[in-house]
Amino acid sequence: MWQKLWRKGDQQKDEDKEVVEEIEGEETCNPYTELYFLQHHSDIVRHLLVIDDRRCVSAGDDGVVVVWDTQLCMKLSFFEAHSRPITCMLSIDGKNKDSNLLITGSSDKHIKVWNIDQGKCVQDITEHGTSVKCLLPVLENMFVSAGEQLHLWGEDGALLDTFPLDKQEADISLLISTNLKNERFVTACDKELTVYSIKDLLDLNETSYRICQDKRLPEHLEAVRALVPVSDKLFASGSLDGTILLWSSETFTPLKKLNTMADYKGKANMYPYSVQYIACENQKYLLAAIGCGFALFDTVSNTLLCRKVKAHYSKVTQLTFVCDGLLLATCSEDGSIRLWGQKSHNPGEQLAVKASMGLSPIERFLDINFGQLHHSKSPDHFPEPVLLGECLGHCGSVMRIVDQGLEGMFSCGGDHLVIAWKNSELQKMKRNQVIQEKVLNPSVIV
Amino acid sequence: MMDLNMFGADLPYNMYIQEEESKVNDGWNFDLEDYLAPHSQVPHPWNRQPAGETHLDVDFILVAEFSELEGPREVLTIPKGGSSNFNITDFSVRIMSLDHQTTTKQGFHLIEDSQVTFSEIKDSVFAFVHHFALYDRHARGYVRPFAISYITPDSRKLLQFYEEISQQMKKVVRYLKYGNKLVFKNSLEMHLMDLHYTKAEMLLRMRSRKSSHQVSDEDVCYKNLRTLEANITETQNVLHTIKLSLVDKKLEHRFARLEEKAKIETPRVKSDSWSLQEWEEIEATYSVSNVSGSYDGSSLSDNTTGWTLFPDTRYYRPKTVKISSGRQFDIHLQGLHELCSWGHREGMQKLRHLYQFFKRDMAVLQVESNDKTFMDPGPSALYFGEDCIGVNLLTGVDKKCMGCHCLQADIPGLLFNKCSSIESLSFKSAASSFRSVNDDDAESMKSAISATGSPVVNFGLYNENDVPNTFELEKDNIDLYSNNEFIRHLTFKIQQLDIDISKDEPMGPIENAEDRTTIDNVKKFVESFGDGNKERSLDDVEKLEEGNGAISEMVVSTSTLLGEDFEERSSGTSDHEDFTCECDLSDVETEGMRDRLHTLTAENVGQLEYEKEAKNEKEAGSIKIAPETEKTSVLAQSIKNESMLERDSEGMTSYDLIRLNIENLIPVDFDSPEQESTRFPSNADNDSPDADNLACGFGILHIMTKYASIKHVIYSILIGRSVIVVGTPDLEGEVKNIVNALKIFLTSYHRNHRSFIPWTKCLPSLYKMTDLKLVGVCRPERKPFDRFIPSAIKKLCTVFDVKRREIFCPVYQGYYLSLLDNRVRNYKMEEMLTTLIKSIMVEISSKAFIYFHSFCIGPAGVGRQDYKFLQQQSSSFQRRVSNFMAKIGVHDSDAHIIEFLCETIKQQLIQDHFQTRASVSHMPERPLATHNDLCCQMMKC
Repeated sequence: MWQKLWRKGDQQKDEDKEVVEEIEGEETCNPYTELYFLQHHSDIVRHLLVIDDRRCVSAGDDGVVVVWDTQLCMKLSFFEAHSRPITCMLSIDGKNKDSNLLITGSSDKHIKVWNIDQGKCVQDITEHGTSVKCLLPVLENMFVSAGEQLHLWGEDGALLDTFPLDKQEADISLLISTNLKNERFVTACDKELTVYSIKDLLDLNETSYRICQDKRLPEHLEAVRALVPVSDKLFASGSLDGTILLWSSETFTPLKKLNTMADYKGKANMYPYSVQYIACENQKYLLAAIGCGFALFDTVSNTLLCRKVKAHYSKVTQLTFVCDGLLLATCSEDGSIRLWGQKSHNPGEQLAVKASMGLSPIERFLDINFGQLHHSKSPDHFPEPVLLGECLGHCGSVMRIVDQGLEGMFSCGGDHLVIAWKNSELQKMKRNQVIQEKVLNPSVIV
Repeated sequence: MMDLNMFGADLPYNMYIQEEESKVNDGWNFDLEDYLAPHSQVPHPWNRQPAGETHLDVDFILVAEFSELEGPREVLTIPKGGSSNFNITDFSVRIMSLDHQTTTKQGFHLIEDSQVTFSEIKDSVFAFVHHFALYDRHARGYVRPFAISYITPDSRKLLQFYEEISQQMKKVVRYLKYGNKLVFKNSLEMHLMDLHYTKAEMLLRMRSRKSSHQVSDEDVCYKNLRTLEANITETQNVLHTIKLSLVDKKLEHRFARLEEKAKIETPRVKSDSWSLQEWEEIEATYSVSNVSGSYDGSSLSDNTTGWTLFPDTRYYRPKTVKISSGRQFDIHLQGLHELCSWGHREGMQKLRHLYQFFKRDMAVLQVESNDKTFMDPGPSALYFGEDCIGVNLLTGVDKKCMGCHCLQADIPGLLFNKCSSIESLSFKSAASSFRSVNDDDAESMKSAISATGSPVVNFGLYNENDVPNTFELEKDNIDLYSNNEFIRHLTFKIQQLDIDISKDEPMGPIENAEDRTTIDNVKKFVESFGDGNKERSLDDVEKLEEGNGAISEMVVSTSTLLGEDFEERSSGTSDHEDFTCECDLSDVETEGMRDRLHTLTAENVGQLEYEKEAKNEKEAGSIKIAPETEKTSVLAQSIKNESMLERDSEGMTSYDLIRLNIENLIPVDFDSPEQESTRFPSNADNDSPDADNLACGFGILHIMTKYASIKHVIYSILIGRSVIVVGTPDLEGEVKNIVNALKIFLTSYHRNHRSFIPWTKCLPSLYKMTDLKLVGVCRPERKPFDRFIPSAIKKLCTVFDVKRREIFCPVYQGYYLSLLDNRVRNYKMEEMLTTLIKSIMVEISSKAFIYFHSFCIGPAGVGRQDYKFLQQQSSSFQRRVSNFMAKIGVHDSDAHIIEFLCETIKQQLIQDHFQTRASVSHMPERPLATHNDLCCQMMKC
């Protein structure tokens, strides 16, 4: 698998002029010096969800959900949830707000609700009828499931409404809500975006909810691959052809088109500029995984702040800021996670300065504060991010990465593994603490 | 119960025969003419032969029996034949005459075992005797007394290891007795069936005869029937008693399993004989024609049920038995193997292990038992390779006074808690350990080698009562170092020194002259010491007691001498002086540490120390024998150090000389158990793996001389980085050798046997590298190296390409492994190098010990939480660690090694903690360090 990817990477490298950066020698800026292989899954792990600062959940094609302790790096519990791959996960607060509920949707047509703390299945919803593709929390304690059908579910798992989808081949793959009250949401179905809203109809005694279709939006050129809310007034969608469209959440009209490509199909329909993932920062900056690279856009000034066209040998699957924005982590199908940042001559000193200023991740990453950012108009101002570290551990494509702050970073991938990337010094301190508190002082039972 | 008069008649003949022919024939040779021939001189059983003839030179185990027919006799010995010129029969008589059955109870009852020690000080024969009784239906009172004795010329073994021997003996006898009880029960059951059958037959016959026969005949029948009834009742009673005692289901299962296995594995007729090594012997001892009786008869006719320990009684065909009120004593009684069946096999196996373990020299046993204390508590011990415990962080440490964090208001009176745990150890020992790294003298690790060649961690974690114990022991006329080996060792060292001095010229003439006098002094000293040993008697105890004072005197002189020498040295030794001045003379406990301090500082001073050592030796010589036992270790070490120093500084290349030295230094039988790490008998099973597995570390000398940059690979192992040795198929042997040799550095060898793979066809997955630390991988010929090793592996593991002789790994820049590397060419024998490696490991571990106790579990190890960024916290911790490491004299790459060793133990502790908590079903994963901060390079080797 790895070698295939490697060769593929090599081929791509030959084809393109631009060379993928490599890192040699010691990586002083890479804080992830200890890794833990969390094994349980027996198939591709596609989803990783942070529950709280101690726990995260992984789910994959083997239909198993595993709850991990992120501090000790151990398995807490696992649910053999579905007989088919799990396609979506959603974490919501329970009724009493004291328990965490996890909703999983699978292509086995089931939606299951789990109590993570107790480790048991609370509900098994079978009325969805078709393969579940995505889940979205709406209003208060309700959620929408979508796939070939669109359903609205109550907190207790009761079916509140079903929206009849007209088209036969309709298969909703993405869902986002576009306003704070979560009453309006956008679905992406192939190239098409549709806006729906949930209306509450007050009958005599009880309230019933209905899904209403509000508007169909102009189509993308190719299938929509990413859909993200930016702010109350804005959401963005990215598609296979590389286009990122900014939409108004009020009028639902396209406001801006970013990153348009002329020859978007590329050689052998590879779609080299396809948008795989978009993340939003500070309600105005868009981090987009485009092809084998990534780009950072400002939605206010509609400018490209910085980009790296060739960041990986293969398509970037996800990207996120780690270490409070000091680094940008990108993961890719080539099996690596790469860390990007600004080259600095004196990392220690700079770090102290950055820490003292209370900056946001984006400011730290670009090494500039917002005031300066607004005044500088030229995109050339920001240099290309530099490769500062590479986390190699997966031997298949890396599907997801999540940042856990001081607990490091977690990634999952096609090699059935979840890997915890941690800092060895912090871990050493933690072990010292554990030894002191638990091992040597057994009277304190934790 | 026993007829003690009996053996008086038979024994002299037996003894005589035994003495005459024991060397020619192992068994008995019933030459009737000889047997019947009267002898004018009848040897008295209590009178020994002249001392020279019955000299016991080796330990052996004797199983003796009080035979009904022959009186006390030997059943078997381990090893075969026992001691060459030791009168076993005589001894059998002695031990069996200690009749242990004092009960006066009537009827059948179970007999308790008893254990006694038996000594013959005059001939220096000492025995540990375990008396027990086996049950035999054909024996008088159903009982046959046996005794297993461990016979040794070294009484200290029995004193020191009484508990162990006693325990092990009990285990052996447990097997024998339980096996015997099962056999006895079966035999009784069958006999009972026979009796019932006979009774039935008899009744039938009586009824049919009733009409025709006379009254007298009827009387006989009636009498017979009554006897039969009595027999039945008796047998039933005995059976009942026996059945009540058969409660050890575990053993029963074990025997059953063995029998199953035997049935499957050997479809041979004698299902039993394959397992019994003594079978041939025993069969030769007994005349086959004697075999008779219902038990044997049934066994011969029906092999499957006859020998089985778990027969199915349904298929037993009862037969009539001859009715007699009395007993027959002329029939042959069963052998031990028949009496105990599977119990015999198991018991004898255990007994052989017991022998293998305890036959070794007292010093080895003692060193091992000392070493063994470091294995406890298990998770805090740091192992290297197969048989080296680097250090145990928590041995003898009071957990309550570890670290400031443990400061609990509710622990009253423990004010010393306020200090970090380092205070709970002897600070001086730690200090001496600090010092040994500060110097650049290559000799520093030598101090850790004990007299037996195995490294012993002796820096202050001994329990306080350890030292007094040994001292007391030595008072009891038990001189630990009186062994021939030790004397030989010392004298040879002296010879060695002589040779060296005659050879070398670089020393100044004055020094040289002084050295000569020293050597002479030492020589004299050793000679007198040796003589003293030979003539030593209880008188010396008094001297020893006087010696108590003398020891402290001598220590004073040593320390002052040291002080002077340090003053002579220019600077940087002020703190050293402080330590030497701090020495508390009254404390016996510090004695051992002082030894170490002494040797360590001696090494620091280097060549200068040589003179001082000379003075020291003079001192020792003048004090003479008095403190010798206490001081011998120092003497031995200092002499050793000198000789080492000599040889190293002069670069002596004479291979023969070194070999001679080693051969003399380490006697063969003395050395091999150490190498094979013979553990306690109970562990012996685990220690005998498949034969093709070579001893851990075998070939290290070859590998280290062959590959120049191997130290970088060793460094990788010692920082927990997996090492992948890649070779093309034709290099399989070489790759395996490398893996096997480098195993000696693995810290996870004991905990996890999957920590290495000598040779595999495909590259293991990366996630396995958390456990796998050493892998030999086959690279197909056509596949280029760069394609074969993916970049993730290359980044996280050290890769050693044997074909191209290239290593891709982090570069080692430090002291310890460079030292090892530099020394390799000086060694021609692997044992010496292995010892050096172990001692270096112990030295490094001692640093890890300090690091753990004064850093990790103190407040510094937890870190401040006021930094926001991961990087900030990380770098502040790094700074603290490197500051601390600098303080204890560890620099560069060595710091990484020590950190890793410490982390290993911490992980073990945490893992153990989680394992012992029943509520947690899952374990924390083991981490894999990426060593991003280390720069990897491609190196030729």
